[in-house]
Amino acid sequence: MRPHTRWVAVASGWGVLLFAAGVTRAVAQESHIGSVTGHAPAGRPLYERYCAGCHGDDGDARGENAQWIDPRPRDFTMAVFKCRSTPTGTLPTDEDLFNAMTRGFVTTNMPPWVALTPQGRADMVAYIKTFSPK
Amino acid sequence: MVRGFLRGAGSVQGSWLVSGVVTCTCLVVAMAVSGGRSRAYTAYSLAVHKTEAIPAFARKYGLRCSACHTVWPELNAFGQRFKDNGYQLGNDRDSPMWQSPAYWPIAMRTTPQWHLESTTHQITDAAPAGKTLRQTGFDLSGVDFLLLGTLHKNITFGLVPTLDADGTTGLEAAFVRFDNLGQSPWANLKVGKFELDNLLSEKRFTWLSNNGGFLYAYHFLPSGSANNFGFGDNQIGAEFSGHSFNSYTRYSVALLTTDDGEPGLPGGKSMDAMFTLSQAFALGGGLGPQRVGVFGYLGHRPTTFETVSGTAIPGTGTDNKSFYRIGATAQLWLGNLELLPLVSHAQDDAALGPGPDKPTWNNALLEAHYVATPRFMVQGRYELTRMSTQGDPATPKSLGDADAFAVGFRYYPFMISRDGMALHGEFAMTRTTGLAPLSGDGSGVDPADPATKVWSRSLLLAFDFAF
Ligand code: HEC
Repeated sequence: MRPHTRWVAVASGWGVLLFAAGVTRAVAQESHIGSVTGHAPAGRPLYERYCAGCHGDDGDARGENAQWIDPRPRDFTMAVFKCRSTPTGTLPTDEDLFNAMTRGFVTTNMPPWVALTPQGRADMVAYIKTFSPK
Repeated sequence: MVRGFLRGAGSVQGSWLVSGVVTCTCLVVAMAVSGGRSRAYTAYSLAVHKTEAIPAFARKYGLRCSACHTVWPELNAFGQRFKDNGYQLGNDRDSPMWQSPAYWPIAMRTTPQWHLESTTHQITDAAPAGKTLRQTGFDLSGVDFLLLGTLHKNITFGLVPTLDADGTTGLEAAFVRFDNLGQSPWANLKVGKFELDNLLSEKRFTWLSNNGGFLYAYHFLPSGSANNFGFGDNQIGAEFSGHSFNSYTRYSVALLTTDDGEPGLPGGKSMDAMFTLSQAFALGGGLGPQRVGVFGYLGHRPTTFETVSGTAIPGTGTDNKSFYRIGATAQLWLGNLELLPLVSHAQDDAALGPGPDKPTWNNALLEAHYVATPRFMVQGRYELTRMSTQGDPATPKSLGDADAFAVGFRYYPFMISRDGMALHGEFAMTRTTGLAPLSGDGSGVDPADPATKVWSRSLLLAFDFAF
């Protein structure tokens, strides 16, 4: 192989990889709940305003309140959820996360966020998905 | 945890540095502007207690201030629903029995400050033709003791004693509320002394200065009025209210004693009535839903009393004369920009005014907040009040007209769930025709000529904190 051909092959290989990663990332940064599409960048400031005190800035359940809360807030980096319509060991759907967040958990500190707009809630679902590599 | 803590501490230190530098610069500039011409005049003030930013709730539920407030003390949609639900989230943390016995539902708020007030055309002994009076210096607000919470699941209480900086005490609020009657959010009953269900709340708004810290729409009364009603004053009575599950639809009706919140039944036996109705829509990508609402108040004031040696016996007033206020307001979001318009129309019976006609006036205001982050906002407001009919036809029509303008910012160096602090800067300016401004700064005396425009200005730098 001539040197410049090898260079082109290597570059295009990286290009394909980067493209694939970009697509995956773009998909992971969206959520779909009915006709509403949530966007992670829009969800981030909302997450910091409403959720980070318990779930942590990095979604690792290390918000400043977590130490006082029993049961502990969900660690989103683990991507293990209670309320799923999907089989055990698999990820919940966007709708599962949306509904869990909207309803809250009556026996825990997790409040119902029903008063926030559906768009804001969908944006936050998209954002919490970015905490987990899964 | 350690990593999180250290990072938090770093950002807090950084913010403190910034706020320290900003404060010092502002103080130096303001002091230079004031020129040190301070003189102590006894200014009366329209003591609007801004009570409702309540860290006791944050402690109880483990929520940051930003969960319930766009920037505290203003409520966001989540906070509005929490309040409508009787300060309950709807989980088992609501009941006081769930709390650690050491938890006491109390929070306090106060605001050490530096401010400058100046008012033109003030008549003094040395200047009977009027002069500009200026007052400046470090000062204190009063203290609000905020005791609010639940006595039992679905039984809410509120108790807000106040202590003014001069030592005067007061009772701003004292009520019990029965929530979710018949398991329905549409039926709640509150009895006692409380804030009217004003969509644009003056108790939870983000203005503190003498000229900016109240709304003309909620306190203006025309020249020569014998009425004492103010929408912004907490009233005594019973309120029946309700809301949809997410609080997007809300209504309230209230019956109130005719004494503008003064205890001891100083008024008559009839009742005032108030209603509000509002609807929010989840439209656009703004920080909250878009809400529009209407409100109305039909009031009465007695004009005759039973007397003993010429002194009126409380509660015996008769010969009631009516007045009304109606209006519409909204809370609109364009991204992080919040717009709060309000229009209102007011009329008093002629017997409550100085002459044969019914005093009538209109008010319009637009307030805008840019909530850059939960920790920083800038704001502006313009409000105008125009008389349309004077009670006495001999009075110039413009007497009492007011224009009020204010700009400001609030910066919160940290955002946690135990307490809150804001560095608050505000400049407010009013122009009143023929009357002293409602802020009452300067000597608070009306100018000799009813056509005179009186300008009053406030500059305020404050540390507003609640814990
Ligand atoms: C006051 C603390 C607190 C706040 C604030 C909070 N949460 Fe939670 N959250 C919890 C706790 C505690 C749990 C775990 C509940 C359990 O184990 O049953 C939880 C669980 C969850 C779950 C997991 C649901 C499942 O099926 O396992 C999601 C999703 C969630 N929270 C989203 C959010 C979002 C989004 C916000 C901000 C809008 C938020 N939370 C704010 C305390 C909080």
